[in-house]
Amino acid sequence: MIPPIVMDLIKIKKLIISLSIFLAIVLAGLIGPIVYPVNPVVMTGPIEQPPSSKYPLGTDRWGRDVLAQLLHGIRNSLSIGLTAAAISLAIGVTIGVVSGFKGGITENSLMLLTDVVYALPSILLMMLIAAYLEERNPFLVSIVIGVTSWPWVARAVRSQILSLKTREFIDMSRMAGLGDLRIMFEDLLPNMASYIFMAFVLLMSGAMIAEAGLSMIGLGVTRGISLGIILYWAQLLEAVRRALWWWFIPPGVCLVALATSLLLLSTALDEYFSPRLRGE
Amino acid sequence: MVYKYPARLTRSYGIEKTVLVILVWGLILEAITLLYFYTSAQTWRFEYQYTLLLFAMTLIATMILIAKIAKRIHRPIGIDS
Amino acid sequence: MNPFVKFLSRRAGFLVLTFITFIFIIFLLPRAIPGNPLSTLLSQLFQRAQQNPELIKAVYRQLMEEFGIGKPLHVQFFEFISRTFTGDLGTSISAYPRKVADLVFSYLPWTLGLLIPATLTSWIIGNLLGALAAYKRKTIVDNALLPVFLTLSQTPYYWLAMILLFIFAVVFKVFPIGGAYTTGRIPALTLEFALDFLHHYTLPFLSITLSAMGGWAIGMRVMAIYELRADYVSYADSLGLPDSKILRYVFRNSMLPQITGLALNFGSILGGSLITEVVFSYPGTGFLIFTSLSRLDYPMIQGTFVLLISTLLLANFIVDIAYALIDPRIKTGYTGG
Repeated sequence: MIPPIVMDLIKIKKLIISLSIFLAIVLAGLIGPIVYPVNPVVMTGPIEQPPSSKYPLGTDRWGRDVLAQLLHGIRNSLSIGLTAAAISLAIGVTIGVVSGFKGGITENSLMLLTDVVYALPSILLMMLIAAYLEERNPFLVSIVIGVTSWPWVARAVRSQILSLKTREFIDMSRMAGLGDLRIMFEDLLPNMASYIFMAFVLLMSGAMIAEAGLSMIGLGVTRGISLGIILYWAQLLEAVRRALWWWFIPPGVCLVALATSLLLLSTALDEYFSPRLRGE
Repeated sequence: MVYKYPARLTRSYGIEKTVLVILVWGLILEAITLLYFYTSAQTWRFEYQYTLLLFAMTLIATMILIAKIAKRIHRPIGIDS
Repeated sequence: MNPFVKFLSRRAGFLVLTFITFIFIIFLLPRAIPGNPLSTLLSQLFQRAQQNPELIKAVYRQLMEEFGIGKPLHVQFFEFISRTFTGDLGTSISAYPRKVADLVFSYLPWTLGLLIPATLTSWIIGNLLGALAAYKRKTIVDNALLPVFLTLSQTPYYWLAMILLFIFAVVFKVFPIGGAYTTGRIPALTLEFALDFLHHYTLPFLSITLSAMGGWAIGMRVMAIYELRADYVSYADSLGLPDSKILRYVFRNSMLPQITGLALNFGSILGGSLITEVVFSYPGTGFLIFTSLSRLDYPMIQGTFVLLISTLLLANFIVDIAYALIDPRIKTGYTGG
């Protein structure tokens, strides 16, 4: 049987819309390359062709199929975003939970660490680190993004923990003699599941945009395609000046759609989980 | 030496803090630029005059913003009241 | 001890700590990453030595000297710190023998001239529109504006730049393709130049302003909605219902402040503007970073980032102190939390 939460969620219009947009794009990225088996990096056709029946999104300045680039790019952007978000989530949640729960010196030193990392602007830090990396594979890029984007998660999680900490069931677990780790896992985390999920959604959105930003400035994945890299080449090869709109508009649209749908998704979830904000 | 995490303060300032930081950051950079051009005797440069103009603008904007924030803090209707 | 002094020294300590961490990272990066980018750069230089051996040798010597390659680590570190504080940010490799500082300060005003006015404008207009949307919550105005703002806040600055450039400079040739002024002109404080300058300034300015506006608008909308509801609640339920407390609690735990905070954080605004410059070939710091990255001009990259980030840390510190001076609560030692 479908759990009641899903039935409730389906009723929210906003959720359905944003989720469907997002999933549509994800689907395109996942099965697109299979359904449309064109190699994005091979220069197959005539250069600078506007969309036609043979090349649904035209070709770029090197004669590469733009649609193929787009599909592969979506896939890569999504995977990098996912990985980076996972890394940030892991770091942020761990630090947040431990510091909120333990308190004392642990809390203070962890929060100090968080604040220091938070003070350094993430984009610049990413650029800096990536600049010195010779070979940037997707995983490495994810790490760079993940390692610089977690502070806000840690802060937010910590404040959640602090408010949960004072509830009764924690005291009961303590009285029952449960160790710290068990309390963290069995009592605290399940209550924060919704929050963690929303944080993940936001992280992913931010990570994809960050990856695009890095790619635009030449610091993305060194070999490969992503939405940001398509834009990078478009910019470098003067797509705008040459009016090759089919080259630079679709990747941007996809990126914006992905990020916005994720954002809408998180606001919809947020309204669901905090009903008072639904706007009476 | 215990590090006290100033949580509540940051929250109740709303989002004007970001703008103020950008303005102050601009001020600092403009000041350093002016200083650099001055000490390296390059005041003939257009960039110098341009920065001078920017500095004046940024300074005025900063002062206005600070005045606005001061008024708001002394008349709290925000989260913490 | 006077609580204000306590606060001041705490913030100062934090500044120093962050600064040292940052310098440490900057210092370690080129030296610790496997593959040693410095040596790659040097070997690249050797390959180019055929063209102009004297020049390359000079650059090589300069690089060795500045990065202190071959000297023990702590000596390198000390030299690095002292050099930074005396304002010597090194010598550029790709534009040898020009100094990094010279180049950076020539490019910086253009960025600031774009960033500051754009931020101010987007903030003012964004706030107005956000408040408007909040007041007209259930109406068409809000329903139409909100998705627009949300989308705008997530639109990368540089992509919006491409769109604007395409529409207004290629399709309708109203604005120039790029650059800060018509090539060949000498910048000067004349009306003629000012007009040309503004002509080139408009599109980059618009890209940054529009994208940032989305963020400010939703931020303001959230705040305004909160205040509105708080007012309503306390007015309608003057019998002391705990509604407002719950509202505050719920608000604090919701994602909304988080979302707006993310869209508006300094890093993304700065990063976005820097990359936008690249799209317009606007001669600002972003453009500088872009070209030095493609040429692996490490001294330039390092110098630029050191300048930008350390001043940012300083700005944060000053703003904290400023707030402390204005806000009487801090003076009396209230730390909350």
